[in-house]
Amino acid sequence: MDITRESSTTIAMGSRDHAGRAAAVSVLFGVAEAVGVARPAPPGLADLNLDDVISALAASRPEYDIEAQYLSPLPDRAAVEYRHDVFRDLERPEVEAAVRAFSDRVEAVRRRVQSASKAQHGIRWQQRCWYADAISAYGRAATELTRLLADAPLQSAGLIAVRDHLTRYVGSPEFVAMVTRTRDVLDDLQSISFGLRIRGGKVTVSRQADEAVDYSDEVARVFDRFRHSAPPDGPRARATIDDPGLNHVEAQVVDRVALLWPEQFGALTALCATYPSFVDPTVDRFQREAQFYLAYLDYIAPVRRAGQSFCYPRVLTEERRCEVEESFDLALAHKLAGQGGGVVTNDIQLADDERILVVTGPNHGGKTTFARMVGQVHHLAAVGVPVPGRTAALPLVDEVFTHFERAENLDDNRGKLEDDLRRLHQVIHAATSRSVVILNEVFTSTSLSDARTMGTKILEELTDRDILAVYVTFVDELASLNASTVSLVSQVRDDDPSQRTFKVVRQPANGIAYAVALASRYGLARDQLRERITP
Amino acid sequence: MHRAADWDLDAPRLVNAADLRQDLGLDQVLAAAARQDLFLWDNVDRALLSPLVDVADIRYRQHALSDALWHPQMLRDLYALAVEAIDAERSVHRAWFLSTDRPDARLHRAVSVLDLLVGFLRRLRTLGELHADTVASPAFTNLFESLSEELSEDYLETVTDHLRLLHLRDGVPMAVRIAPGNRVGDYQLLRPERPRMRWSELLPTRPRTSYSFEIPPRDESGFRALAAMRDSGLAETADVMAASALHVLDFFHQLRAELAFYVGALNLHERLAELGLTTCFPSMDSAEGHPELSFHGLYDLALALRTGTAPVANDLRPGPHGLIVITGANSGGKSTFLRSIGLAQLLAQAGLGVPAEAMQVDARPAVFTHFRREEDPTMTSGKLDEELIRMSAIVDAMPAGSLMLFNESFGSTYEQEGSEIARNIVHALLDRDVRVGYVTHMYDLAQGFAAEQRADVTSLRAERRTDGTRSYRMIEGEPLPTSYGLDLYERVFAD
Repeated sequence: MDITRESSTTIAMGSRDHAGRAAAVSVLFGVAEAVGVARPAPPGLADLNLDDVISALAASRPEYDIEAQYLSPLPDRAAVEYRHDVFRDLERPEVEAAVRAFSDRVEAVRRRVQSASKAQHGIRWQQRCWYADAISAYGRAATELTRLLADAPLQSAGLIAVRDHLTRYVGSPEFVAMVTRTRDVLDDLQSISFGLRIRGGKVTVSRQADEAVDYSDEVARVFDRFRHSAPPDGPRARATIDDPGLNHVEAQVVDRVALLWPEQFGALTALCATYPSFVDPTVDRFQREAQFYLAYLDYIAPVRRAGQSFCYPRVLTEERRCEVEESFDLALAHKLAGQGGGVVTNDIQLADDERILVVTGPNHGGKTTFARMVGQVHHLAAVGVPVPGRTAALPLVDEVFTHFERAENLDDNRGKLEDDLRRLHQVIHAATSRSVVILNEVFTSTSLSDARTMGTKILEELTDRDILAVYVTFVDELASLNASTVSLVSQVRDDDPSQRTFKVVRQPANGIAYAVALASRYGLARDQLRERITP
Repeated sequence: MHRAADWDLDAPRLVNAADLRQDLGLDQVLAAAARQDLFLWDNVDRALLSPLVDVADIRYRQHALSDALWHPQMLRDLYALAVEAIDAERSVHRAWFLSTDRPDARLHRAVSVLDLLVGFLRRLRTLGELHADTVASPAFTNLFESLSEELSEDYLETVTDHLRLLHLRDGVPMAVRIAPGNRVGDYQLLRPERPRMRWSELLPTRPRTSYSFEIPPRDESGFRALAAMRDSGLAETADVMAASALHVLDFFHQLRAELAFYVGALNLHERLAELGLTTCFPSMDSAEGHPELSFHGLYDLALALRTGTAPVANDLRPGPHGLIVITGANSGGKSTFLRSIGLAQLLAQAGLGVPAEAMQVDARPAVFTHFRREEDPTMTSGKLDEELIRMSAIVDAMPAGSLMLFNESFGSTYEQEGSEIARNIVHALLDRDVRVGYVTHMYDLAQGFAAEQRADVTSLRAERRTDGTRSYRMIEGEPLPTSYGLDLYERVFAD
């Protein structure tokens, strides 16, 4: 009887079950079959340091393709709120714990099925056992999640649909029969105990004839007084050799055991043949999609512990204003939380007729971080995750465009300006009235009067196109250009102007910034001098 | 060496060990104790530079040393046996027990080491039984008693039997189970004896109860796998045996190190006897919170060993002596006196005899010296800077209640400045119950302390006879404004 089935395990997992049913439930999209359109990462995300965030999110779950969901803005408010609702449910500790445990179990099931499907010569008994283990673990995962979700006060349409499906599925006679039979087969196998003697290259497997007295204990007793420390407490767990792929010697041993105990091993073979596939497609899809949520919650957890708030932004469709309280740069906050610190928070406020935040102030005062923060909060809101801040009300944007200064090339000044202008043109050209544009210190490589002139042109263009923007500059005049611009200034301490507070507040530009910026470009600012001149 | 625990051979010496060796002349003492044996040198050095602070510990060691001095041959025999055991083991195995070693290899090595050392244990016990009645100290009595109790002949026979079985000449028999994943798991070693044949099992009509197979001789991965399975069964026993072998080996290492200290002490004692110099065990008792120091006939041991003659001895009346300020004639023996106090402190707290007719001294957690050094050769800092940096490092390491010896410290600047620095430091040290010995030329400093009239301040002066010659004796007396440098100058320029 040939009982190896290399092919059958490969279809054990999949988007359709053996009856051909496809998964009908998605926790990512309210419309089940809508899948995010895969597209290249918007270039602006790197300037916003969101590429670090998203890479870290993707890297935390490399076997799932979750990156696309963090990159692609959602089309409408309903889609955003669908995800918010799932997040809110998952933020209930009991729901989160249940989903995490379930996710880990299903992951382990996949690994087992994979090992079982990697055909290796001579280890059929192990492969079959892994397969049976996978069925058993899958049964536990589905049952346990169903039980835990049963009493949870779920609010989200996504999770409620998952629960309804699970309840029907786990209660079905097919599922119950599969789980029971698997358990019986495995229990019978693991009750087998036998003798093994190794002498040179010869291995003898026997129905145990010797009375099994543990000789290690006797040796431990006799040599006790030779040993430094007290004997360890109680018998310790005896290891199984932790080489994951079972070696062929062990396989040969098990082959002999199978000859000595044919009934138990025959039942295993029959089990595997009965269930060539066993994972429900909806269960599979839910586990994959849940990673999008879990990864993000994992990422922000240390930031929350460091005292920073996250909130679910209100998505504005009619109004054109933008209000976020106590927001911060997520990438920076995550890094500092890892070092045990918190970050300074800032507010974003744009009334209905205001469009452009013009940020001036001393160098290293938090201007760039503020600009990044504004871009981040808009992008994060658009992919449907909780955003940094205590409260937030935002329009839904289609893309965040950026122009940040590239590494300075002193040999080729004209080339740099030209390059800057080309990139700037592309950005302005591509942006729509639903976009956010972040421009950071655009014209540092030219004269002040040129910077003033070109900056004015850019801001007027943005105003005309009704685009929401942040403009970081050392040119004070731009801050009060027209009715759309709002002047923000990064702050220093009153008692010691060399100390920055990293607060950026609404305030008329005050002129100090340029001098400080100019001096610091030559390394002559007060604190720089203090560092350069050592006592 | 210790009442309660093994002598910690890895215990750090005082952080300022190098300064102490240099300033107190320890090398002279170590050379006399070691007689060219570096191992003895190292162990006496360790004892001197990791001072005991518990008086009971010190007494315990003094006791053991008395036994050793009364029975020199016994001590030298025991030491020779310990050395022989370690040399023998080293020449055969160089036993390294790495945790990364495979259990199989670890077990094999452990069994071989123990095969060898069990013989030495037997000899050691016999030697102990021979001397059990002649020793009086708890240290030697306990050693001999525990050898005789714990390593009885019966026990050593049992051990030998198991060592024979653990050579595993008939393979490795194990009881195992089918584990999750259809693996083989739960390895359990059975008594490694020859398998018993049962004729009934060979009858053709009986169902088979066992199957065997062989790994082909060239199947390397097969043999590796087999080894891994065998190792799983042996792991626990290998750990036990490796721990046992290491412990027995450690025991011999420990014994050798501890005996080395006593052998060194014996050597030193014999050398001083040749020179006709006396030592005594100091009395370490002092009422809690009442520091006390006194001595009669204290001489500088290092100086005595260097010159081979008896140096001038000094006395100190009983008293707290929180601060001893020593002033007086140049080349009058001030530094020697200061050194003799420091060295005696270390000797006393190592449990050794001190170079005096009689001495009373309290135990101190550490001894520090701040002696004048050569100019900084690298010229990176001025002399005063260098002194202050060194002092700062000392303070970093200093526990309250230490002994601190200054020799001409902070004298490298204007006297008023130096005095002020020194006064602040010394006062702070006194506040922390540090006993301070201070040799100085700074009249301002010395007189300042004397003027405070504190009961714990003692002013000593190197004696200058009326003809200007020195007696090298310290007498109590207020400092004098001159150090009689002129005397010295005149003698040197006499012609």
